[in-house]
Amino acid sequence: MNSLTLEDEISRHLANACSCVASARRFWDALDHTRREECYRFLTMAMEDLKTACAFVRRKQASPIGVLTDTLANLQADASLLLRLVDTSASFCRGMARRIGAADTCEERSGPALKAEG
Amino acid sequence: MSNLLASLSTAGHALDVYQQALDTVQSNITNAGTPGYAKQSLNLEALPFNLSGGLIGGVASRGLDSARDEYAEEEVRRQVQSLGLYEAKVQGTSSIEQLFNISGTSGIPADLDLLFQSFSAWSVSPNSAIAQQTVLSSAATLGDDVRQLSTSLGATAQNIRSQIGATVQQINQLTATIQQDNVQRLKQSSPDPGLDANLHSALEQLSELADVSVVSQADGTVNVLLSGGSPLVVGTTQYAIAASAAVPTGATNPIAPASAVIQDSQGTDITTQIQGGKLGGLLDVHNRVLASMIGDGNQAGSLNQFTKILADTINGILRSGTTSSGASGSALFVYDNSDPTAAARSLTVNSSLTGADLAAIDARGNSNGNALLLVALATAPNAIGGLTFGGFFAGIASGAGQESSIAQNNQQTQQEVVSQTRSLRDQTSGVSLDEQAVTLLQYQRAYQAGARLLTTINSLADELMNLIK
Repeated sequence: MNSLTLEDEISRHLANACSCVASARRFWDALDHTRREECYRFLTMAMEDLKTACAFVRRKQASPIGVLTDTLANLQADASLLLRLVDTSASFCRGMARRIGAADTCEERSGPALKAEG
Repeated sequence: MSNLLASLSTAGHALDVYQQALDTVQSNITNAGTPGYAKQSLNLEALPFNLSGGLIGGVASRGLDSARDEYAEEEVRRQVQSLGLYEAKVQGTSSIEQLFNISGTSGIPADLDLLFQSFSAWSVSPNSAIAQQTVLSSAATLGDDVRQLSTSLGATAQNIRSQIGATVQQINQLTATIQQDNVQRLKQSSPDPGLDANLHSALEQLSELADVSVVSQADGTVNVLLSGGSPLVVGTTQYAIAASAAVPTGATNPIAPASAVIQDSQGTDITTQIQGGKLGGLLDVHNRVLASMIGDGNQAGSLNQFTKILADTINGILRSGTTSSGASGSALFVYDNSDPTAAARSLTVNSSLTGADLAAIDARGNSNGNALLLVALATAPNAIGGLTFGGFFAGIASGAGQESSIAQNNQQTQQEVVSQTRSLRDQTSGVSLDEQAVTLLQYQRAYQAGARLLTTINSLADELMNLIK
């Protein structure tokens, strides 16, 4: 049985991450707790796959997979769209909270990013 | 006996109040699909009950409460305004993109290839009448297509100006409606849900057309201003705007294609104030995207620049040479040189030129030296703007494509944002403040978690992109 090469591993994790972010994008619903949780589950999976892919690329210390830039670009496009939807939802809530005098109960935007190192 | 009458009176009054409550519910159901309508609820108040003090209790109505939240309405209008902008940009840039052939298999890129191929064939047989004629016909085809493209872009500009005029008319109709609503509002002692629905529907439609800000007044009326500050409605006065087309005063080329201009009710140019909504999108496509191609009072436009430099370069080479009969060379192309923005729409082949007038012999006497110089133009790296002629034209075409692609992506995203903001408005408006605060806190925390995940994913993707590039 053939074992996967490093390039295969990187491609696989990147494809998984891309697919997970696309799924997260489909599940996003600002008002539906269940769908939002599912969306976040996919995002967490995507993050883990990206961390692993990063670790593999760093270990290889080469740049043999330029072809994967399209996959990454798609992933970034989906993530950017989702972030815009999340940001506008958060912005809406902040404004509403200020309007009804509940601003002190609401926290500011995203806080620090999760640790990105793989 | 008096107590019995009082009880009957109380019961009768209560029935009246509950009838009002039922009417309110009925009105909510009837108007569920009415644009701008906000759910109403009747405020009920228990009356004091103390028999020994002569207070017989009962229930009283304390007027209607609207579920409308002005902040949420403003947020929806803000997002709708962006959607209007992107929709107009998509419409405008798509119509421009369709005029270009990106693939290069037809249209001007193919014409250019054929012209350079004809120069190549002519350089092999400089005295061949067929080769000479092919040069002339290839040049004529290129001229036809450049003129056609310029004319089509001009027609697109005209079409967009018509849309700008229609949009301004719609804006004035809506601000007239809002002004009338203000007049009605001042005549009424308490808010009228129907009037309120009409007003908010008009405001939402207006925000799709232009970037407006709405300021509610204490007397229940609203003032509507363009984002730059120009008034559209103040109290019971409407300030109509107007659309026109003109070359700006002080422009370097007063006979250039006109720019679209919006004027306030005093005739002041307020075009630059309008950055959003459909009107903002149409103005951007007309005054920026199209003007960069066909020119305006302050620029020749890339298509005219391309035409002029291509024609001048080819003409210059031909004029520097001589024909086989020893005559001086003549220009292949002619165009209107009196107006920098007229080059593309006037490009033709010199009608007095025959094949035998094409000057193939260069200044050193080489029989095909000039023809070879023309062949070399096809790949000359700095022919125009640091590019080949083909590369420069491809840049114009791909620029149109990119504008269209960006607008489409933004439109798709914004459609989702608008839909989401409307849902958030409907979900968070019209509930008690305590309930609203709890809901907002829950949402805020959930969104915060999502934003963190996405920020991390973006930074990992950036890192990975840098690693594999």
